[in-house]
Amino acid sequence: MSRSEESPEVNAVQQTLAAEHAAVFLFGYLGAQTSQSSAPALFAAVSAAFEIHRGRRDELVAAVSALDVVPVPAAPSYDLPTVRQRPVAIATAALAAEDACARAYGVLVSMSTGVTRAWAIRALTDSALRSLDFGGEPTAFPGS
Amino acid sequence: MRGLAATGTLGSVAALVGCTSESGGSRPEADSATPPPTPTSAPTADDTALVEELRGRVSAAHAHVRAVRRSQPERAAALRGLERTHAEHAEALGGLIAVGPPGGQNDARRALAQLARTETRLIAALARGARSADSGALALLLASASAGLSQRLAAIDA
Repeated sequence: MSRSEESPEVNAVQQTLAAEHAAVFLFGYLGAQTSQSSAPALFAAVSAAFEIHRGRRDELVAAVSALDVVPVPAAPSYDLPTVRQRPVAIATAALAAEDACARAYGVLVSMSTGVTRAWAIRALTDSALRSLDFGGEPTAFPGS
Repeated sequence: MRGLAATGTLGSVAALVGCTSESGGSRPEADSATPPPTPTSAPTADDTALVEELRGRVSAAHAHVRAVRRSQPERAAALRGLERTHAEHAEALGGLIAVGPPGGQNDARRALAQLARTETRLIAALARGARSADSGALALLLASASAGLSQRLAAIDA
């Protein structure tokens, strides 16, 4: 293992990447469970979340690879909530996923500096705002 | 692992950088159930100055919201949440500082527009502070506060 692989910042980036892998998997599933015709707003929010988390995952993979570190891979599968195409259950699962990502971004903020920290700050705010689309309530300190 | 690692909870940041709460609150104990994040470095004199600057800005925003809320009772419910958020942020930074409200703005729409600008500037200032903080724990506090304030404003707009 190289020195950079052992650094707290790289570990935090890898943990954030792991959270993004899980989010991409979950939002893909939730998109398939959401009716575009009967719940258009929720479908749009879930679809947007999927795209954003997929983009973030790719950014993190590139960032880790640029350090000559092997990016943490996605798990073969993840525990999925039972939502049965119910909008309330889908929104609840989506909110939990956003909260989990916000916590990962928060840890990354505290463990990083420079460009990585700036990225994590933006991601934290974006995630906090998106959580409102899934029924989240404002909190004083999201992601902490 | 240095400095804040053992007590890196949000509430402890202000105390660790040397600020005192006007309310005299004691430093909260670290949550034993959740390991605190390891900060990137210990707080510095620059962090102390940063906390003081932002504590003043948050206190000024709190006074601003309070003044608008009192002048516009029809918006009191929405603005009370914003005022509470400022109070929580100030508490984490060491406590509210007594600040007078900004100059009178009698027109309700203009007062709200001025308040929105104040809040937007504060969100940006908190994010800038998060980027520049030497302490990882302080960076988290400020980034989280910026995100929380963004949430609150978005909820009011909705």
